[in-house]
Amino acid sequence: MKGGREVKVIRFVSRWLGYIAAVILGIMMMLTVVDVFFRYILNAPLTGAIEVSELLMVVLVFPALGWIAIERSHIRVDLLVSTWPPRVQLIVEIIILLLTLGTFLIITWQSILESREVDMTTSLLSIPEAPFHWIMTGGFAMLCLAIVSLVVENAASLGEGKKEGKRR
Amino acid sequence: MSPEIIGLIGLLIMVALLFAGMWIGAAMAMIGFLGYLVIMGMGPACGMVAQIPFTTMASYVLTTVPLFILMGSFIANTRVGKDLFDTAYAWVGQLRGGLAMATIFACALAGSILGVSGPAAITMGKVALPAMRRYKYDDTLATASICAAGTLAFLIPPSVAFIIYGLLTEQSIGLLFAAGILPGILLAGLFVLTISLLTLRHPELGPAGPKTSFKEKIISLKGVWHALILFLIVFGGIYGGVFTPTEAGGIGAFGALVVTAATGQLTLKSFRDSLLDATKVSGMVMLLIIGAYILMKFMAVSKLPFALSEFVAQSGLPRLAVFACIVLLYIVLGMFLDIFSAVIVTIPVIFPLIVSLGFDPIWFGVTVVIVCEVGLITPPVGMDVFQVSGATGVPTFTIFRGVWPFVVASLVCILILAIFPQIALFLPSTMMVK
Repeated sequence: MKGGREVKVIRFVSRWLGYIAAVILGIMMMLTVVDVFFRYILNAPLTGAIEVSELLMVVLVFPALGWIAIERSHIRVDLLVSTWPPRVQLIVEIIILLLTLGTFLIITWQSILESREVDMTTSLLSIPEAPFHWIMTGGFAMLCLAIVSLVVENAASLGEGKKEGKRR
Repeated sequence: MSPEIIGLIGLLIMVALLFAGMWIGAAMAMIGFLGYLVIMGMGPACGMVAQIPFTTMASYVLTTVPLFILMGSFIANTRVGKDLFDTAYAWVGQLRGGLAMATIFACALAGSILGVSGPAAITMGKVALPAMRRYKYDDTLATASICAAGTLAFLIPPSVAFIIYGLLTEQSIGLLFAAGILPGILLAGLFVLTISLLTLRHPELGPAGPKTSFKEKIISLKGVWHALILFLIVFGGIYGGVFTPTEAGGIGAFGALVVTAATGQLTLKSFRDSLLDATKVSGMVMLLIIGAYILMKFMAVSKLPFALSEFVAQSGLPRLAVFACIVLLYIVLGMFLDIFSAVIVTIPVIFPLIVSLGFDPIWFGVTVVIVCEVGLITPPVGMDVFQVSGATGVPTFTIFRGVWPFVVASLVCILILAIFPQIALFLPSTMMVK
């Protein structure tokens, strides 16, 4: 693994966030099943199950983004890129990653501003929404860190000289 | 500079970024933000990206996507795919080209419980290819039929492609699911016809397998009961108006888990892997969706889609010529993008055009899915071909060589649908709950 201790920490944390997201997905499935069971079999719908599902979706998606980035699994077109020489690939990828980083830094920054303002609660269960905005913001921040660690990895491969650019 | 021109420039830069390998979701978000900024100013652009991610993700309907993906990953970790193949094999294996036909039938059945095509194609690659090799099938026919069959999963409900199309265009997911069934059966039939014509001319491509007795055929049916029950619950529930598609997703995922446990294939490892896989795929798709919604805001203020519709209306081109151009565009896109990306990237621009031309949005959804599937199996990138090649070790070149007849079959299917849209629209029109 290339990069220093910071990169390892980022990888470790984002992987655990991915595990948490997976658990949330399991909970979401069970919640839907229990909701349907109560509604159709017992004729007593769970109050606010839909609201909870919506908030769970936030906890499922945003923490997973950084993990997927670390695993280099975000969907991209590598048809053209993969025909270039390894060094060119690494350099282009670094530039593209920096553009991506810029985009998500702006989104993270705006999410922070937004999260500080939010004082809404959900309509049925009165769950405060602010913590979930912060979870989203944290997810975006983690995604930015993940992108930084990818840049560091690529820069390290580039620094290893002309031996061979490591592609994954 | 007029907003329309800014919109066009934005799209061109986005295409360049995509080819440079930027994450598709990130490229859409970046261009969406910058374009909105140029037209509306800094304040509104920042406000927009502050709100869109939360409001689009905190959506109950959107939970349908991860739930159906989870159902697929549970199924993928079982022997259900092999059982379906064994059953189909017992019924048609003795025909010339029968094993390839069995692959088509098995994938169509698997498609009725899978929302994505990858697992179907890979499972069949592992199960059907060894069987076909044992009976001296030519590798080109064997692998090409697996690739073609794998794409059926996107057309036959449940289908994650339809869910995403429905979300982005605000069409009913239930109606889209119902609309996919008959075209799915038609396409499967055309694939089978293709195989029988091929083996009629070149019997050496796919020799007949051993005969099975009628009793064996009946006994083999025990392999399909799980798939049948799951399909009846999930699709029957939606069609009959018992569940919403979201509820059906939850029930389907849970049902798939129960099937896994009931057939003794549930281990802690397979359970964990299924959850992690489904989470990863969901997150990948969700980043695309966030990006698409940001891009849609930009497209709306650029008025580019409306300008495009007007341009097409004034050009006096016949409707079907425009439609043919759109089909061509999607085939090209499908060569480079997977089906989700192709749908998500284009809908903000193309969909208003389709509506203004008076095409039925549900019918168009079905067509788009078939066309993108064609892209999945054509060179240079055919995603499914790469997956099958990876799972079986057959070179992509060999597969691409055999795939052409199936591409023709898919195009024939689109043509038939264009002439008889009722094939897609009949079942939705009979649904109890709209």
